[in-house]
Amino acid sequence: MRIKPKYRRLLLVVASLLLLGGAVALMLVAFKDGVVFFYTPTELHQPKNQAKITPDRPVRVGGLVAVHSLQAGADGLSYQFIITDLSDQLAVVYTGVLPDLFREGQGVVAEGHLLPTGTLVATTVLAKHDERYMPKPLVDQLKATGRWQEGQMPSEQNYVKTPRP
Amino acid sequence: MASILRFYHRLAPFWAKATTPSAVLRLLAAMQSWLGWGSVVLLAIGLVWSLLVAPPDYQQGEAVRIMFLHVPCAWLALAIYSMMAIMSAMALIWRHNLAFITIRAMAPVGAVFAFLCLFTGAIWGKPMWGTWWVWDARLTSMLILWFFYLGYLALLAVTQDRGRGERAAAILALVGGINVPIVKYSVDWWHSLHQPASILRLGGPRIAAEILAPLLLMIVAMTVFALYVICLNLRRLLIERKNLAARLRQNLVA
Amino acid sequence: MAEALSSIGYKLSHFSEFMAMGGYGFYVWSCYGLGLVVLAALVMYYRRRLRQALRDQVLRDQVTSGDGTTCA
Repeated sequence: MRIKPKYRRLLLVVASLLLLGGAVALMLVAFKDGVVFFYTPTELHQPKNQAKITPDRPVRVGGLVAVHSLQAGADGLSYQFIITDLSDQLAVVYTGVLPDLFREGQGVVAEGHLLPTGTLVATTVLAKHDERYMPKPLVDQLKATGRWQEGQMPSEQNYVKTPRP
Repeated sequence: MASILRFYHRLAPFWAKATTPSAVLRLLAAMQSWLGWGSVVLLAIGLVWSLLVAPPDYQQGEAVRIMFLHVPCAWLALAIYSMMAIMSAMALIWRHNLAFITIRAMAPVGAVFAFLCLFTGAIWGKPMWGTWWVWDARLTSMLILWFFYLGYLALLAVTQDRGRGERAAAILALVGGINVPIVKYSVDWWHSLHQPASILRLGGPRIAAEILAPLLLMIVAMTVFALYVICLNLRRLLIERKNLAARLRQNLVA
Repeated sequence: MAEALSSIGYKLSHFSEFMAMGGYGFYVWSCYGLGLVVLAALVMYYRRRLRQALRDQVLRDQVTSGDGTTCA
């Protein structure tokens, strides 16, 4: 049977797109761990990731800054705080300037080296913003009526691996 | 299936008539001033609303106003590329000249918006995140999108034979279409520094109405603006091509 | 609407405070400034190219009609 050229091209385009899409999807699945920008504390402490984390390579850990965990040193430039994913946590020490959005209960990504004690000595601290945007009066109102939940990220799948008690 | 084919065949003559260069040129000429003045009015209202009326964010303060520029640019970079990829498939299958030339008209506009998205994102990231740039999945895939735009334009620029160049560039545009869903869903598939989607997400937007309204207006305004520039460029390309054909004919007569 | 107008009035009457953008003035205005420059350049470039093409078209029509010949 003779196929009209335009249908042959249609088949060609569809077939090559399917092949290419499949190849890219496979690649993305294969490189999933490589594409990860940070580990949560839970992932960091998983045995399968322990092997990848060596003292000579910096590691990035992300989560929420635990509420009431931030302590500033006497010099005003060194800080320590705890990163939590609400099921596991990690202590971080950092000397430097914190970004403007750094707050307790908010998302953060810290990069640095792990001490044998398990503490992260961070060289960089980046604030991770959530996807909520609202004016301050509205937030105050929500807080006043008890409908505000600090640190409850809508992107919970990024942080909470186990259901909260 | 058979009825779809019948419908297609009945529609085809009308479609062919509506997509002749002269019909398209008439339509573009009629649309141009509407799009131009429409974007002036919408952008004026949108900018006043974004800069003077919208309240500051409870966390980001006044820096949130960068969003009113950043998000429309990101939307347009993705939307224009999606259109280019879809039209590339159509152009390659049906060999329709108008489709090839429309993609050509859209590409530089999309490239500019992709660049502005990356630029405003970097400037926004510095005070908020604490860094201009990180190699996370969202930022990297967006950079790749910009490279696809540049690759398309470069391929068109270096090829001598127009028809072959347009076909090769259309294949590149089509292949790059795979990157579009990766950009969109990168923040859901991987841990990234960039926050997840605020507007187009399951469960509705996560932005208060006072900030969402000017953002949506800016998205509409910038889209009308982009259509205006694409209209200018497409009209220019079609007329240039007509002029070239006429010149060749004159040379033949002379 | 009244709220919006009063907000505009307030910001314009406290102009330096408005320009400071709560300390983020540099970041906000460099984004909007560059956006404006780039998009204005884009429009002006393609408007000029369109004008050129239209002018060529008119010239071409004049040449053909001046000769008294038409190109079919």
